Amino acid sequence: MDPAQKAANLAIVTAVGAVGGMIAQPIAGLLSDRTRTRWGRRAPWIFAGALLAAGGMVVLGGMTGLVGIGALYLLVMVALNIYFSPKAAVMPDRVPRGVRGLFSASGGLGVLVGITGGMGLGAVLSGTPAVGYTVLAVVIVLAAGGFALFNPDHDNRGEPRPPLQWTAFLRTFWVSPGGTPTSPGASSAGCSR
Amino acid sequence: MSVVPHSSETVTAQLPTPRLSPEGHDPQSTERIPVSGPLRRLLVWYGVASLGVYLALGAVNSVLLPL
Repeated sequence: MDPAQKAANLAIVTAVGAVGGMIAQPIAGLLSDRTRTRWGRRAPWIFAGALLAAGGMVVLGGMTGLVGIGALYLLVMVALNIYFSPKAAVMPDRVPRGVRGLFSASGGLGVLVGITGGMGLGAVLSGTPAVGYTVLAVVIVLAAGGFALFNPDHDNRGEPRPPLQWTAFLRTFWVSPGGTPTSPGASSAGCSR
Repeated sequence: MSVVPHSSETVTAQLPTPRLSPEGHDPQSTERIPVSGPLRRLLVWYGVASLGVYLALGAVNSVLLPL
């Protein structure tokens, strides 16, 4: 690939991945709401997302062309969001409201340590990307597998599925800036009265 | 013709029973309970699961993307 186009290529690939992840996350959450298995509704998605992301990362390590890298990066981002969305939904499903702050802090700590540690790990393994991706793939499968294995959910096969309402789902993508009390426009309008 | 419950027994019987999580707690409870046992294990793995995702995002996005 052309080294002069490196920044532009990176921007294209990460933008495509971000859009894919943005679309995949709520869809994964919606589908997991309706999933009925002996392992509950979240664990199969968490584990499947981790496996898909791990496979994508291993293949991504060997890619050289922009299209291939873009496609694999998109796959990894979609898979990570398939993992993350049902994982986040475990908190309202299973954690009492009184201690959710603690769980939120635990998740937040994972974000901070993960981003920083990931950048460090990437720097250390940047000379051998294939090894780096393999290490990440193993870590993500262990994290998802441990979460699902050591924290089993109820068998929910007997529960009714909520009706699938695509129009209501699509409306969740829209947040009215004027209708949000915390938006700058709303608060300044409130101050001027 | 609809039947309206009158006795307190009937009303009590119709109250929804809170569905407990696999850890044995009511997810809607606002009580600040001690986090121990299975709930503590869930807390730890909840953080680890976040760590796994963001470790991958941090490494892939910052350095490893082979462009």
